[in-house]
Amino acid sequence: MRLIARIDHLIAVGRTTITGWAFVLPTILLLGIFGIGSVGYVGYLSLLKWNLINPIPQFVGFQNYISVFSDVNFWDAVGRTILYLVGTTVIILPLSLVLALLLQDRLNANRIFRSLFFLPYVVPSVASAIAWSWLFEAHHGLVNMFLRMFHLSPQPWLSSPGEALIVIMLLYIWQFTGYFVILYLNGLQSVPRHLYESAAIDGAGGWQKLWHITLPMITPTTFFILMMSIIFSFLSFDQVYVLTQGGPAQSTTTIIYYLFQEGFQFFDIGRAGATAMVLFAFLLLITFLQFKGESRWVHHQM
Amino acid sequence: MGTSPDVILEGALERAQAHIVRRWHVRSIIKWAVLSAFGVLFIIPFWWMIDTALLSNQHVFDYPPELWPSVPKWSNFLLALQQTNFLRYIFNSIAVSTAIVIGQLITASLAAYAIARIPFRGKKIAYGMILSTLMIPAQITFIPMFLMMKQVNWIDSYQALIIPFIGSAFATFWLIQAFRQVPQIILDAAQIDGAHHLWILWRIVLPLSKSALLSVAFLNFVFHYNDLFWPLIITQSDAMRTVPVGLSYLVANDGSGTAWNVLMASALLATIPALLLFVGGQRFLVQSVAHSGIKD
Amino acid sequence: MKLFHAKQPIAVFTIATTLGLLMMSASSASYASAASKPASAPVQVSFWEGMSGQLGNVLQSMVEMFNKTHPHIHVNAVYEGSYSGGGPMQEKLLAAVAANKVPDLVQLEIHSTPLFAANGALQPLNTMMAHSASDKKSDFLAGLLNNTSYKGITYGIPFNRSVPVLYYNPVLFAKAGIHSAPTTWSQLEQDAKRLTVRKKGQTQVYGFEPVNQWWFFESLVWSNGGQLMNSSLTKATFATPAAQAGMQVWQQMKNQGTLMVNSGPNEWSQTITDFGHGRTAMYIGSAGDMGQIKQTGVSYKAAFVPKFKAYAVPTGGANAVIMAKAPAAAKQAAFQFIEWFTQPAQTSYWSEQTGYLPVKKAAVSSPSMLAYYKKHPNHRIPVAELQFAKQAPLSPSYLQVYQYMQNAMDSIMFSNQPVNQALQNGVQSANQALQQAQ
Repeated sequence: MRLIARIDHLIAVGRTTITGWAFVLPTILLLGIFGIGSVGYVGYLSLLKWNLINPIPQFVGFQNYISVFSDVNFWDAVGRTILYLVGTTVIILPLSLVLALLLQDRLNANRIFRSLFFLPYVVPSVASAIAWSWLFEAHHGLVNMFLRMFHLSPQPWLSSPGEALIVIMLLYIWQFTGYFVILYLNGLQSVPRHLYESAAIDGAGGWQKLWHITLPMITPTTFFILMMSIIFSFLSFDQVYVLTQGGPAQSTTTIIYYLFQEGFQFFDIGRAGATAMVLFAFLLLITFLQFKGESRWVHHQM
Repeated sequence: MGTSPDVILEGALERAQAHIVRRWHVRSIIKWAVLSAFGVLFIIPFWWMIDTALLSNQHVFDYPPELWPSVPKWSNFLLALQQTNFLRYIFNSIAVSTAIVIGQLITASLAAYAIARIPFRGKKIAYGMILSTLMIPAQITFIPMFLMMKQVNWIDSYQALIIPFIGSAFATFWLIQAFRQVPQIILDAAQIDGAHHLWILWRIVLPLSKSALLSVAFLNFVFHYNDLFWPLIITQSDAMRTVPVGLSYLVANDGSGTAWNVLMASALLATIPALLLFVGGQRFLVQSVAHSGIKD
Repeated sequence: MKLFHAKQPIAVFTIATTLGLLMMSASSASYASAASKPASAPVQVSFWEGMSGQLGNVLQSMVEMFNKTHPHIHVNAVYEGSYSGGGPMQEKLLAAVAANKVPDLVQLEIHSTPLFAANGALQPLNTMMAHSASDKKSDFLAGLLNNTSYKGITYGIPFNRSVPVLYYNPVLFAKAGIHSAPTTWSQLEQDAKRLTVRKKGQTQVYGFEPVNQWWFFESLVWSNGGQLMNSSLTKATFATPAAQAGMQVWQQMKNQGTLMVNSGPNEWSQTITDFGHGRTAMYIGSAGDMGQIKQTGVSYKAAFVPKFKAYAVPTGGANAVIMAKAPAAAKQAAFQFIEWFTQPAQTSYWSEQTGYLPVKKAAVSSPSMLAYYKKHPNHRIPVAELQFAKQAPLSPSYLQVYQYMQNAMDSIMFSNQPVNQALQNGVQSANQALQQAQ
C-alpha cells in the first residue's frame, strides 16, 4: 500500500514538475537567449579586438578592460554619470515626495494634477528631447526669452560645457517626476491609518507626524525610487543622442553614450563590450542592494 | 451679570474653529500655490510645443513670442506628415508594441502562474533565472543581439523588433505578485474538481487579475512605443522604421536649418498615440506605476 | 561633425520646369543600350542617401528623373539619416556590412572611406572608371579627388562635395571702412576689432563667428605648415607649435570679445542665422551654405579662408561608393547612375540648387556654368579655392582622431583651456586610439 502511495506521489510530483517547467519554458528560453545569452556574448566580445566588419576578430584577452580603465575619457564619463545621477536624484526625490504629500487626498483636482505630472512620462523621449532643444535654444528659446524679460543675461545652455548637462538633468526631472510621484502616492497609502490616529491622540502636530511616522514608514518606497532613479539616469541615452550627442567638449558624454560611441561611432566592439560588462556589473550590484533593502523592509514592518 | 459657562464654552469653541479654519486656509493656499506653480512649470513645454507647431515660418523667431498663434497654421501638421512616411512609422510602432505586449502577457502569465501557484521541482532555479535578467537593458546587450539577429537573417524585420522582447522578466515578476493575491481556496476548489492548470489560469486567475494585466500591458506598451535604441540599430529600410527613429532623423544635425514649427508638429504627432492611450487608460496606467512599487 | 551643406527651399515649379528641361536634354543624349535591350524587369539599385530637407527633395527628384529616362534601371533612394561623420547613416552602414545586408550604392562621408575600404566593404572603382566614357579620373576636378581613395585604389566618386569658405557682410564692412575681405588671419583679427560693435556693454555685432568644427581646424593647421598626422599615419601631430597658432588666434579673439561661437546640434544653422541677421560680420562655413544664406536675405560675399603662410583647405561632403557585396548587375547599374549624375548637365543643376561644387572639369568650363558664375560671382569662389585643397589623412582611425580634435577645440573655445594643453590632451587620446588600432 505504502509503496503504491509513494509511486502515486512520485508520479504526481513528476507531473506537476513537468507542468511547471512547461509553463515557465517560453519565458526561460527567451530570457535565456536574449538576456543571459546576450550578456555571455558581450563577455566574449569584450575579449576581442574587432570592428564588427573585419572578417577575422582577434582574441586579446583582458586588454580591452585594461585599455578602458586606463582611458581618461572613460573615467570622465563615469564622473559625469555620477554627477548626473546625484544631481537628478537629490532634486527628484524630495520634489516627488512633496508633490505626493500634497496630492494625497482623493480630490478631483488632485487627480488632474497627478495626471499632469505623469503626462511627460508617456511622451517619447525623442519628442521630449526635441522640445527641450527648442526651449533652451540660445537665441529664440523660451527659457532665454524669460531671462531677458527679467533682465538676466541669456545663457548658452546647450553650447556650454557647464550648462549642457544641466539641461539634460532638467529634462530627466520633467520626464520622471510624475512617475515617482505615483510611486510615492502608493507608498503613502500603505501607511496604516491607525498610526496617525494614535499620534493625533498623543497631540502630535503635522510636522511631527510627517517626521516620525510618514517618512520612516515610506523608506522602502524611497529606497525603491532611489534605485529606479539610479537605473533610469544610468540608461539615459535618447536625451543625449538628440540634444547634444555627447558634446560640447564631451560635457554630456555619460557612460551609456560612451558605450554607444565606442561601439557604433568608433567601431571598437571589444572596448564597447568591456564597457558594457562594467556597466552590467554595476547594475547587478544595484539590483542586489535593492533586493537586500527590500527584505530588510519586510522585517521592519513585521 | 456673569456670563454663563455655556456661552464661554461656545466662544472658545468658535475661536478654536476659526483658528483651525484659518490654519486650514493658509495651508490650502500654500498647497494650491505650490501645486499650481509646478503644474505650470510642467505644462509649459507642452504649450511651447503646441504654440510653435502652429506658428508660420515668419513668426517662429518673434520676440516676444505669441502666446497663442493669432492665425494657427494647422498645415504644419500636414507638412510633418508629408515630409516623411510618418503614418507608416506610427503604424509600425503601434503594431510592434502591441505584438510585444500580447506576447509578453502570454509568456509572462504562464510563467507567473507556475511560479506563484504550481509547486514544482526547480522552481527556485527558474525564478532566480528570471529575476537575474530583470536588470539587463538593451543598451548593454545591443551588440550581441544584433549579431544574433544577423545569424537568423532577421535584420530589418518585424521579428527583430518583436521577438527579443517577448520574454519579459519585468512582466513576469509583476504578474507573480498579482497571482499570489488570488485566494488559495478558489484554486483548491477548482483543483478538487479536477481542473487542469491551464483552465484554472484562463478561467479563474486571469479574470481576477485583470487590473494587473492591463497595467503591465499599458506600461510596457508605452515603454516599447517610445524605445529608440534598438529600432535605431536594427532597422534599415524606411518601411520598418518606428516613430522614435523617424523622429530622430528629423533633428537637423546637418546644418540644413531647423524648421522648428514643423519639427514640433512632428514631435506632437509622435506623442498622440501614447497620449490617447494615456487618456483612455489613465486609471490603469497610474495604477500600474504604483504597482511597480508594491512589494508584498 | 555636422555638415557641409545647406538647404535651399525652391518653389516646386522651379524644380519641375528645370527638371523638365533636364529631362529633354538627357533623353536626347539617351542611352542606346536602354532602347535596344529586351523588355525585362529593371535592375534594382538600392541607394542610401543622407540629404535631409530640401536637399533631399532635390536629390529624390533627380533620382526620379533618372528612373524615368532609364527604364532598365530602378534606383531606390532611401534617406538613412544624416550622412555626416558620427551621423546615423554611418552607424547604419556599419551595421549593414556586419549583417551582410548591404545596399548597392551609398553616399558616404569622405573621411570614412578608409575605414570601410580597409575592411573590404567597398568596390574598387579603378577599372570601371578607366573604361568609362565620361567618368575617368581625369574628368573630375583634381581637388575633389582628394579623399576618394585608400592605399592607391579609388573607392569613391565625388558626389556632394564642398570646401570651407569665408563669408562676409559687405554692408557692415563698408560701415567699418573696410573694402576687401581679409586674406590672412592677422588681418582678419584686425578687421574683426573694427567690425565689432558694442553698445551699453552688449555686443551687437561680432567681427567673426566661425563654426567651431574640426573641419576648419584642418585648414588652420595646414595653412601654417602644420600636419594633422605623421606621414605613416601612426601618430597624431596636431599639437605642434605650427598647429597651435590657429586656435591661439581664435581663443585670443574670443577673449578680446571680437569672436563668438555656437555649439550643439544646431550650431551650424545658428551661425548662418546670426550672419543673416547681421549679428556677425564674418564667418567661415561651407560652400554649401550659400543657399541658406540667400534665404536670410542678407547681402553677402564669399572669399577664400584666410591663410597664415599659404592657402590650404580641406574638402568635405560625401562620395558615391558602391558596396563590394552588391550583385554584379546592381554594381553596373549603380555606376551608370553615378555617370549620369556627374554629367555636366546634372552636376551643374545639382550645384546651382544646393551650393555643392560641380564635380566635373567639363561642367565648370561649360558656357552655361560660366554664365551662371558671371551672375553669381560668389559661387565661383569655392571652385577657385579648390586649387588649394589638401587631402585629409587616409587613416581608418581618422574618425577617432578628428573626434579628439573636436574635443580639444571645444575645450579651447568653451572652457577656455590653454591651447597647448587642450591640443596635447587631444593628441595623447588620439595616439592611444591609434595604438589600439594597430
